[in-house]
Amino acid sequence: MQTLPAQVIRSIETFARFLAERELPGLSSEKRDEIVPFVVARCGGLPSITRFGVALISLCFGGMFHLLGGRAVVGWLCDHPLPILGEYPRLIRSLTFAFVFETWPDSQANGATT
Amino acid sequence: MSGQLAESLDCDVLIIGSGAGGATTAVVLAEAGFDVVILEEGPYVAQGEVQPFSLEQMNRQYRSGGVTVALGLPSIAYTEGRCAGGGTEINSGLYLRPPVEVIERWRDQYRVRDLDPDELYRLGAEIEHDLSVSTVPGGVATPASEKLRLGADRLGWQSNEIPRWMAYPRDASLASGRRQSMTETYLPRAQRAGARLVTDSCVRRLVINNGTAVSAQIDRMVDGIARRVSVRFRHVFVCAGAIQTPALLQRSGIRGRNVGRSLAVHPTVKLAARFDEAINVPDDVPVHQVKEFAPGISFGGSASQPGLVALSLTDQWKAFGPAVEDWRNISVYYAAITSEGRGIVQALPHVRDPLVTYRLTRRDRALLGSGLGRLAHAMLAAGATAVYPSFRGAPVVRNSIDLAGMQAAFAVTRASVMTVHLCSTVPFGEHPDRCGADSFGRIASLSNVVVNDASLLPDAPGVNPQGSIMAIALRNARRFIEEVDPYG
Repeated sequence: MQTLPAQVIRSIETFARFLAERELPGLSSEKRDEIVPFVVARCGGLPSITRFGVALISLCFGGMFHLLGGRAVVGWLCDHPLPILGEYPRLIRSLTFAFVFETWPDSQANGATT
Repeated sequence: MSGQLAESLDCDVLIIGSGAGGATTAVVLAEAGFDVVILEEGPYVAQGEVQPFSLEQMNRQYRSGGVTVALGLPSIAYTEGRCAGGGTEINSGLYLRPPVEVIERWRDQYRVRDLDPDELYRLGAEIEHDLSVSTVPGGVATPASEKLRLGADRLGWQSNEIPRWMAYPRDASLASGRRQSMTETYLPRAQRAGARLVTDSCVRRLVINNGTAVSAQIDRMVDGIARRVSVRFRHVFVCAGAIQTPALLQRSGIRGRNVGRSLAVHPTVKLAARFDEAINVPDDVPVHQVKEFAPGISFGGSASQPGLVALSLTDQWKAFGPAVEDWRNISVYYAAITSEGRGIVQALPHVRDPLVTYRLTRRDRALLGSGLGRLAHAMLAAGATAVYPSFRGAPVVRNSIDLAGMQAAFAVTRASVMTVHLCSTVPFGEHPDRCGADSFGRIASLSNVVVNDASLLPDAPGVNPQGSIMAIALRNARRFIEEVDPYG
């Protein structure tokens, strides 16, 4: 696995955390803490070109988080599936949901424990 | 199971890749007396160490944890095995011979010399014996598989149980079958004949002098650190799969116009179908396929771990998400098409992984929509209470009115398109405008480089390609030992 720059990792962490909070609001903060390193590790293991694209988009989003706030940016991006850029939230969402429902298969749709 | 690699190593034949092509080649050459080294980029993972289709398996046995994509509109997610045994360790083990008309088309359109359907079928029979290719004892498949069969039956559509390479004990039940992947069959057989299997070793490039490949530069991972080592050889077989084989050839300076320019896949779209009773078997896949609309469209079942069920619902999570709580009653199915589109694999300077792109044609897009509609129809006929198609904006389908709405709403650019069958990046044959290797896999510009994997198939055969890959690999390896003396 390749190492991602620290700024990129921070941006992916922020995105994954807010996305999980927004789309799986019943998920406990402990479980959210487990998801984030999984998502970062999978992004770090992406093939070169995809990883470069993800890093670039993450840096752009990182800047937007500073200006507009992470929660607002993630919310807007999840509600507005943009061409190309929209693949990024889709990737983070896919990784998050796959991890949550494989690790805790009896979770409710909002992430809460049954 | 895997050997250690010194700073340098010598052998008669280096085989790069240990999957369906590489392991088959290794058996033939090692048993013929060649000193064989098999290099595998990934680790050795014994069967049973990881749960099939789990995230842990993806982490250990798939390239990039299973997150690989051919860029395009839409992009197509694909998976590659990256472990001893390659794709045979991670796939469903379904096995079909290539249809005769496909073999004849390859022979005629690509001018493949001595490509005889009868010979390939004889080789296929050998492979089927070696790998215990068989149907489920007693004919009772998983509930999810039976639902697909039932849906097809009720619509009068043709469906078949596809055999798998699976060894069943006498008092067999479904769960007790053991997959006859390469680490269970051809790799140990090649090792018994003297072949050396070296894992965790990635070939960066082949060193070529005066039209002959002389050695391979390898990064061997030791405690997470890459150590550069070298393997010298007389002959090299490149069997790294349809993505890595052309990329390695390109990195080695072999940039023929037909290397990496014609990637072919079976694009698939998916849906999740929910029933009133439990049908989900997380670590197995349905063995039935619907061939009523083949070769254009085929239907089958996918792995349905709860995480993968959730994944199939994420495109419409607000509407579909609550269904995940009922995952035991849900299974994921796919519609696969034979595609007219083609893709490109391009190694880039100073970049580890190749750029992979794929372009669907207008006909492909229409066929995917049509396939998804018919698959949903079959699921409703089988008694599904709800069908959840995997595309943004899809409605829940509960009846024929919803079905019409789904088909009207479908756009392939909003769908999660994926594939597991990758081939055709170095097509074999004598047609100068189409082929990257000769009729037996040899690279024309080099005297001792042979390609022997999925890259050789001139196009995607419309059925699971592993039987085709192995039969052709066996044919080419046998031809090689007829022409080259191991003691010469």
